[in-house]
This record gives sequence, structure tokens and C-alpha cells, in this order.
Amino acid sequence: MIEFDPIIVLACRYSLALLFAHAAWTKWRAFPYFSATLNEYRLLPPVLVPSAAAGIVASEAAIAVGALASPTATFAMALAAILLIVYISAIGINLTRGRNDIDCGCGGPESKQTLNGWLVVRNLLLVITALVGSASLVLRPLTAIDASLIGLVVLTATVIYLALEQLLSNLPRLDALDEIME
Amino acid sequence: MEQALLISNAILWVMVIALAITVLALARQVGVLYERIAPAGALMVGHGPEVGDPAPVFEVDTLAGSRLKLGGNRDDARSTLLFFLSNSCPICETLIPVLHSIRKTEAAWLDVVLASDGTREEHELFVENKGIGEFDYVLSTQLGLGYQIGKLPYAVLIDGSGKISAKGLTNNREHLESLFTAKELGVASIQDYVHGKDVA
Repeated sequence: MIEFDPIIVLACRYSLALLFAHAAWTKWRAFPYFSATLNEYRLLPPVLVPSAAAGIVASEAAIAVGALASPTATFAMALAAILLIVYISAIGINLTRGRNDIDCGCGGPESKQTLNGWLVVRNLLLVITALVGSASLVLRPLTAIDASLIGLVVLTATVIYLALEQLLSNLPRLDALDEIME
Repeated sequence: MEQALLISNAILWVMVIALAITVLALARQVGVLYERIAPAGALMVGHGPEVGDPAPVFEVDTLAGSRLKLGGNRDDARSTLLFFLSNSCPICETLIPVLHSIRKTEAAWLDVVLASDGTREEHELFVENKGIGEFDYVLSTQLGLGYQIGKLPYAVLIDGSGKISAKGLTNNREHLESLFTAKELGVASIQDYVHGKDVA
């Protein structure tokens, strides 16, 4: 069993908990939109899409909650890694089909990200984060400094992630501009 | 020494967080900038009949059962906005309120016709759910093929003499209105406008 320092493992777990909680929330809030988006991936027969969409939202919510407590965290992180690999495959299949103009469905209707290779890179990094988060903790007493360090890492990682997301959603706008100016 | 390292570490944390927030703010501003400097207009993609060409003439049945002639010279010189949509396209649905308002404000010179293809039952349900019963709604695969519609929502503006005065991919209100502006200015598309081509 791989063991890491609690700061590293817990920071990964809490960051992903935050990420999946947000993902589940935006998908739930605009559920019909998410179902339509999932349908656009053209991977499932339309009959199965609503239940699959509900399953995804439920899994994301379960990961967010499960990551917080030690007994369930390893399982939650493994589920996160599997879910992310499923996303990577779904995006990869549609990219090879040349359907790069569909919405990624990562956030709500406002996020408007179209599929591109960077999403695969981003999700691979998240898979690595989930795998680190699934490791066991090296047993040592945690002090207040450890706790505040974990908080700082989660905060910084979240802000950097948001900045990357923003840059990704800028991409199609830049492409649209290029297309006009050509 | 250890004291200095601790202080330096704390300062570095503060600066890393401040920098991360700055990068986020910058990325947002860049996004807003892209949006602002893009001239809003319907992008002309694909092929099909060109702007300025006579529109292909189609005789189609509306969902309500009446017969509708699209294209060709019209005695009343009214223009037609042919709006291609689908019941499975989320962006199309966001444009329905815009179509309602266009139908009202431009009623003096413009007819709005919605076009799609598929089975009659699912589209009747769609029309009922979305409250778009007052529009002429036609189902015709031929029509989509005639204009070579590849992406939705797509709109074609046909003038009273049956010529295509503007067409393009319309993702929002600005794009739809740009078709009317294109008709007034006699410019074929947003690409031509940006490049200063004179098509009039």
C-alpha cells in the first residue's frame, strides 16, 4: 500500500471533493441541459440517457461527500478516477469522430466549453490527483499548521484550476474570432 | 535562520495566492475581451445557394395543415425569415423568445417560418411544449437539403422578390438581427463585412 504524508493526500481529497461538489451542483441545477448534452455525445441510446445522467450526478455527489471522511475516501477517490477515465474516453471518442463542436457538459449552460484535447489533459491531471488521494496516510499527529497548510493548498489549487477553466472556455471564442478574421 | 525561512515561506504563500487570483482575473478579462471585440454577426458556414441568388422554390405543408410557398416572387413583397431548428438543440430553444419578439416587431414586412425535419408527432409535441403554435412550422428534409444546412440554428432571410438577402448560423439575438442589418446594408455575411467587401 502506497503511503504519502497526510498534507499531500488530504489536500488532493479535499480539492477533488470541492470540484465534484461543484460539478454535481451545476449539473443538477440545469439537469435537462445536462441530459441533452450527454445525448449529444452519441454514446448511449437516447432511452438510457436520463438515467445515465442521473447516475453521473449521483456519483459526483457521492464522491464529494465520500472524500471528506477517511473510511470512505479511498473508495471515493477510486470512483473519481474511474469516472474521470470514462469522461476521457467519452471526450476522446467524440474528438476522433470529429465532433469537437459539442458542449463538454462539464459545467452548467454558462460554462460553454467545447470539446478539445486540453480537456483530456486536464482530466488526466485530475486522475493523478485522485490516485494520490486514494493513497493511505502516513500516521503522524496533525497540528494546526498542517491543517492550515492543507487549507492553503486547496485554496491555491482551486484558484489555479478556475483560471485554467477560464482559459479553456476562452478557446472557442478565440477560434470563432480567428474564423471571422481569416 | 529558521525564523527567516518561516517568514519567507509565509510571504511566499501569500504571494502565490495573490498571483493565482491575478491570473484568474486576467483570464476572465481576456475572455470578456474576446467577446467584446468579436463583431456580433451570423457566421456563414457551409454552402448551399449564395446570398443574392434566387432562393430555391419549395411548396411545403405546415404542421397546421396549410400549404406554404417558400421562395419565388411574392405579390405582397413581404420577406421571409426561414429559421432552421431542431427539437434536440438546446441553443435553438434559447432563441424561441427572440423569434417571438421578432415576429411581433418586424410583422410589417416579415414572415417567420420555422423549419425542421423528423416525425410529425415529436414536432407537434415540441410546438405544444414550447408554445410556438402561432409560427408556420414546416417539416421537410428537402428544404434542409436545398439550403445545405449543416449546423443549427441556421437562418435564411429571403426578400420579397425571392432572392436570398442574408443567411448564417444564428446562436443569439445579435446574430439574428445581424441578418436584418445585412439585408439593409447589402452585405452578404459577417466575413464580408469584416473584410470590407462590397457586395451591394
